[in-house]
Amino acid sequence: MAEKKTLGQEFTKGLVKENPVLRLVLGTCPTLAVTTSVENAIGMGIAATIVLICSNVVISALRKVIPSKVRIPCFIVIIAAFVTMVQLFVKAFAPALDASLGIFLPLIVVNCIILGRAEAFASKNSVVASAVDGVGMGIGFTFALILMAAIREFFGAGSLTLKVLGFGTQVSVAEPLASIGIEPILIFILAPGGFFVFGLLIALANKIAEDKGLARAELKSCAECPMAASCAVKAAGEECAE
Amino acid sequence: MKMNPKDILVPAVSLFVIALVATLFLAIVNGVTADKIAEQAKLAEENARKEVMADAAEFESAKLSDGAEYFIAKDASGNTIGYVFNTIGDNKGYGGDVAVTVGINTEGVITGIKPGDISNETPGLGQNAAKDEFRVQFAGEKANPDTEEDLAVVKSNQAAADDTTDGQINALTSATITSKAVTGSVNKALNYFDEIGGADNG
Amino acid sequence: MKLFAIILTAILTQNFILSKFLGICPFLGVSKKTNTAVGMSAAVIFVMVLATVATYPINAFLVSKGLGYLQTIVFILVIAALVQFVEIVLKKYMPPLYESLGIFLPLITTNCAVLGVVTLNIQESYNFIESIANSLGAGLGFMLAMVMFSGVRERLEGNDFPKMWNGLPITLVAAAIVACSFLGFTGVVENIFGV
Repeated sequence: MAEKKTLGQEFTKGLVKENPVLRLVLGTCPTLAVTTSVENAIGMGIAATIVLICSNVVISALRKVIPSKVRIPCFIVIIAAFVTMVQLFVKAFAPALDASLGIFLPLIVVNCIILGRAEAFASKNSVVASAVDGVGMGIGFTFALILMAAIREFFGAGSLTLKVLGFGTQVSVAEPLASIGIEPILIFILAPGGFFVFGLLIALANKIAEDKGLARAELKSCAECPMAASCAVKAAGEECAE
Repeated sequence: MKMNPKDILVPAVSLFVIALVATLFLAIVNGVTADKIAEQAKLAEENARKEVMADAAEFESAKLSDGAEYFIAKDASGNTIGYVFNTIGDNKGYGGDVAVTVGINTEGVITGIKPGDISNETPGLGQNAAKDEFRVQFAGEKANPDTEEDLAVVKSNQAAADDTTDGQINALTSATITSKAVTGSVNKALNYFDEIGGADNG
Repeated sequence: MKLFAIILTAILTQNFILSKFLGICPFLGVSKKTNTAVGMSAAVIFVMVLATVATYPINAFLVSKGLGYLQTIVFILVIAALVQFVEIVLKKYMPPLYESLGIFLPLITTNCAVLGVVTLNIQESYNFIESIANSLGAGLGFMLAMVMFSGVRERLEGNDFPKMWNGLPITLVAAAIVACSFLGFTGVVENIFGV
C-alpha cells in the first residue's frame, strides 16, 4: 500500500485482491465458527462490517489526537464500544441472531481484521478513505463468509438458509435427496469440515493468485498484524501469530 | 526531567477521556435498548408457552416450592386446563444446560414440549431436537403412575413412534447426549407436576 | 467431581481450538515447532487463569450495579492491562521465564481464546472455582492441540504436495484431520461422570 490509490481502488481491494479472509488470512476464528449456515454468515458479516466502518471512521478522525504510546488500547476501547452497541441492537431487534452467533458477536472486538485495519490504515489515512476501506474490507469479509457457509451448509445439511436478519427463505434439497437415500455429508458443518473447506478455499485463492502473478496467502502477514511494532516473536525472526 | 510527567500524563489522560466518552455513548445505547431486550425475552417465553399448550387462552403465573416459576394454563372460560413449566434437567447437553418448556394437562399427559436455546448443541445432530419429529414423541406421554419411572431415552428406534404412552423416547441419531438432556428437563417438569398435586385433578 | 468434568470437557470434548474455534491464529501460526508451541501454550494457560481471577469479581461488581453491558469493553481492557503488567514483571524479575513465555504475551492480549474463555465463564454461570477450572481446562486443551499439531506439522515439512495445496491449505487440511480425531471424544466425559 505504498502507492497512492484512488478511492475506487481502496474500495475494491478489500473485495478480492486483498480479501481479508482469503488473501490476508485475518479473522480466521469467526470464519470457521459461524459458517455453519448462510444466515449466520450474513449476520456476522453485517455486524462486523458495521463495526469496521464505524471504528475506522472514528479512529481516522481522532488519528492526530491519539498519542502513539497508547494507540492500541485506545483503538481497542473504541472498537469495543462499537461492538457492544451492535451487540445491544442485535439483542433487541434480532435475538435469534444473537443466539446463533453466540460469543462470536462480542469476539468481534478481537477480530484481527478490525484492529488490523485500524492500525494499518485508519490511523494513517483520511476519514473518507478509511470509511471506504472499511466498506470494502467488510464486504470482502462477508463475501468470503457467505461463500464458505454456502459450501458447508449445502454439503453438510443439504440446505441454504438465504435469510438476512430473519427475512428470506430456506432452500433445501435435503428431503428430496433423502428419499432416494442420499444423506447430507454431516462432517461439513462440524468442526473438521470448517478447517477443510477453509483450506480448500485458500488453495483455490492461491491458485488464482499465482496465475495472476500475485503472492500466495500466508499466515506471516506481519504487515497486517496490529502488534507488529511490539512483537518480540517477529523480532526473533519467528512466524507471527495474529 | 520536565518531559517525564508529561510523557505519561498525556497518553494516560487521552486514554481515559476516550474511555469515558465511549462509556457515555454505551450508556445511552443501553438505555435505548434495554427495554426492548427485556421485551424480546418475555415474548419468546410467551410464544413457547402458547406453542406447547395451544388451547390455552391465558397463563397465570405461580411459584413452586423451590421458588421456580410455572404457569397455570386456563381456557377462555377461566378453567384450568393444564400447567406449563420451563425446566432445566440435571443432564447437560453437548454444550451446556438445555432448558425445555413443557406443557402438561390436568391429567398429567404432556401436551407438547419446546426446547429452549440449543444453539450450543451440534448443528445437524443435537440441534435437530427443535424439529417436530423429535418433539412430537413427547406429546401424549405421561409419568407412569404405577412405577413412578421417568421417561427413558432409548436408541435404535426401539420406542414406538409418536403418541403412544410407552414411557420411551427415541434418541436423535448420533445425539444421545442432547436427547437425554431434553428428556431430563421434561422429567423434571413431570416431577414438578406431581409436586403441585396435579394428580388430584386426574 | 464436577470440577473434574469441567476440566476434561474443556480439554477433550469441547476443545477450545478444535471444537470451539477459539485461538485459531496462534494455532496456525505458532505451531510449527514444538518448543514454540509449548511456550505459547504455557503463556496462554497463564493468562487465561489470571484473566479469570481478575474478571470474575469485576463482572460481579458490574452486574450488581446494572452495568452488565460494559462487560466486553471492561474485560478486554483488563486483559490488556494485566498482560502488559505481567510482561513487565516477568522481564524484570524472572528473565528466564520471560525468555520462554514472556515474548508470546502481547500476541495473546487480542486473541479470541482469552476473551472467549472469560466471556464463556460468565455465560455458563460458573462460580469462581468452576470458572478457574474451565479456564485451566481450556488452556490445557489449547496446549494439547498445539503440541499435537506441531508434531503433525513437523512431519509435513519437506513433503511434496500439489502446488496449489502447499503451505497454509495443507496445514488446514491436517488440522481438519486432527479435529476429526477429537470428535471421537464425544460422550466420554458424560459417560465417565454420569453427568
